[in-house]
Amino acid sequence: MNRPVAANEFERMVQSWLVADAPAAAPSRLDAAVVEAARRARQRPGWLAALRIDQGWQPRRLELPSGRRSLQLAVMLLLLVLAAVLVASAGRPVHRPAPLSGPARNGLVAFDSDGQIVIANADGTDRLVLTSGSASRSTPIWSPDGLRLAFWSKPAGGGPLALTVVDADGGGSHVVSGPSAFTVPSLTTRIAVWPAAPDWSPDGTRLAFGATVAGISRIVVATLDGKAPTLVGDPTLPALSPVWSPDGGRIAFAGGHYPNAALYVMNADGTGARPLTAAPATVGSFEAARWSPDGRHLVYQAGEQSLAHGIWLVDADGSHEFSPDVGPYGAWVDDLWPTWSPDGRLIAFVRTINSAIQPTDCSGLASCPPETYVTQPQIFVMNADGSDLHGLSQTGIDNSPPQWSPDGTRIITTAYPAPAGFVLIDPQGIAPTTYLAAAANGSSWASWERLAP
Amino acid sequence: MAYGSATAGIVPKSKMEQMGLAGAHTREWVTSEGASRPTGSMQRELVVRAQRGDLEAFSAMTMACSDRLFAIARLILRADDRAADAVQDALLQAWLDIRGLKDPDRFDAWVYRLLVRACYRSAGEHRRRAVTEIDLGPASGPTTPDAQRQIAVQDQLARGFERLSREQRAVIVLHHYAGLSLVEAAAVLQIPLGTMQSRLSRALRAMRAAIEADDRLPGLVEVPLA
Repeated sequence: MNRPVAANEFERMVQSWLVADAPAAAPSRLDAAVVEAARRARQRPGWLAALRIDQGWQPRRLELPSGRRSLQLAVMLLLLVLAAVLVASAGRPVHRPAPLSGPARNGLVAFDSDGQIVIANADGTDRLVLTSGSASRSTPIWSPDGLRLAFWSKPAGGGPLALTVVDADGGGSHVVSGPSAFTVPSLTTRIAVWPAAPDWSPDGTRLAFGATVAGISRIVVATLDGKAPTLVGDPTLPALSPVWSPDGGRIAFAGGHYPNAALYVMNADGTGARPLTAAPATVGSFEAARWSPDGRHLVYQAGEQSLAHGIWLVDADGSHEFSPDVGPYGAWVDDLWPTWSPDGRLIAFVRTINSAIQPTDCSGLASCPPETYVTQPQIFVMNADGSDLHGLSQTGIDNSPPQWSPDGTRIITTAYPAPAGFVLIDPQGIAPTTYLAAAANGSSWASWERLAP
Repeated sequence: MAYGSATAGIVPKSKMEQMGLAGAHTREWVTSEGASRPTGSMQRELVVRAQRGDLEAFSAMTMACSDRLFAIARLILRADDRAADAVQDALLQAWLDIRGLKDPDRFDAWVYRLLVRACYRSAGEHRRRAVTEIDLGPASGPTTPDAQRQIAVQDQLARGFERLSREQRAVIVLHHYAGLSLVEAAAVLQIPLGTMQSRLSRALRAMRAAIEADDRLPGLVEVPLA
């Protein structure tokens, strides 16, 4: 390029060179790599992502202000900033804490699916896989204020369970408990809920769960401040299934050994443990206790035989213990997982009816084939005083804990045998049943986020 | 002065087929200039679907724009591997934050901005690592004098371009290759229009100066063999 060229001619040369020098296509694997990376990543919530994007930047000519004009400009800038703050505050869905008890607005459903934690709207939209990697995660539980999500993680190669808490906006992930000294048991050995669900304190600052320590079941309380979890309660009293009272001052739990097992209550610091109940029980009874939203009553499952639990109610002071539907059912009916509706007016639970099917015709056979057993779990609902007990029409569910939606209009539980995932039932029996898809294996627990109304 | 580009926005036919965009859909994607890229309602629909977490829609968007983005990144960074990294970085950021994009029609400008930032980051990291990457050209060279002259001019342009800062390269590529107007390029780079104009002008002058300095250097003296 020894001859002089005009400016516009030089620009055309540059443009031609750029076109010639640019590669015609991206590397063949680039698209797949991008999509795979996206598949493993989690989209940021809209409000958070919006803060990261300059939505409407327009180029402007830069002019230096002077004198009065600079003052006007400063005032305008101040007004613009104030307006922007107001608009951002109005348009951004600020995640305000939900009320600690009572009905709330429905948020996202968290559930375990094929060893990962997934959140989605109840209709399946906005589905996000929160976790990745080979560790197996289970039992996600939203905090009562809807600001955090806790779940268990089990390393793929074995090792201690870790209780992990993430913020609702996807940040702030931290392990609050790596209980290497603890063995976290299944809720019961015959129910496929693993491991026991932790229970949030009402203020969302602590988590309680049952664990086996030195051969005895103990209650562990973990905090979010990075301190080591603590054991609470009488070290000689076996304790399982802790649940905080709505005011956070007490913890109810299944305590003692058969035949002296009972539903216990103690102060949150572990002092003052005393049995609330007097009904006879066996191993595995007095579990799944739940406080009524007003803290005045408890509902729990208990039974005289391992396959025949009933639903019981007791006042928080230990009085008025009764079962609204005693039977007689024998071993053929098992009532489990009672749970209060958010307004405290209804109680839902799972009734499993075990049926024996006898061979119809054994004539001509050398020996009659044995009878077979069929179990048919079904959601039942009753008033808080035990009246108006009735089954919902929905079958096709698994024997796993049902959960009320925060607004009380749906009950979600695990679908079984198909479709894989969760079933959402209208307790009034009006709205059609819907499904939330999840992996066929390892999906057993759903928790519904509570949002401020 | 925006020239538009012969290559900007073109999706290879094989990619269109991979994307399942043959037939009626393809016609909607073809612009009046013949460039096949998702525009208008089609792109808006894909963006909205991606905002809902639809990975398939995002995949289609990726396939539609990755060639164009890679070309831009390659021109700015002058290295294939770092250009690919920058494109992947930009598109992943787009996926992560796409829910916050309030106007789906601004997707292109936003992704350009993410890409330029990714290129800046890559250029910074490259300086820190001081890695020298050698690009081996074709083994066989031109044979005719005209072709040799053309190659020599292109080499000079390439050397002049490589002496520019990353910011200067970006303004030249966005304006003279990607076909963005000065206003659009300024918006992508988030700089005032005046800054964009002066940066482009200085970049072109610097490129010319670098080439003219090359011309003044003493050349190799060819010594005839005895």
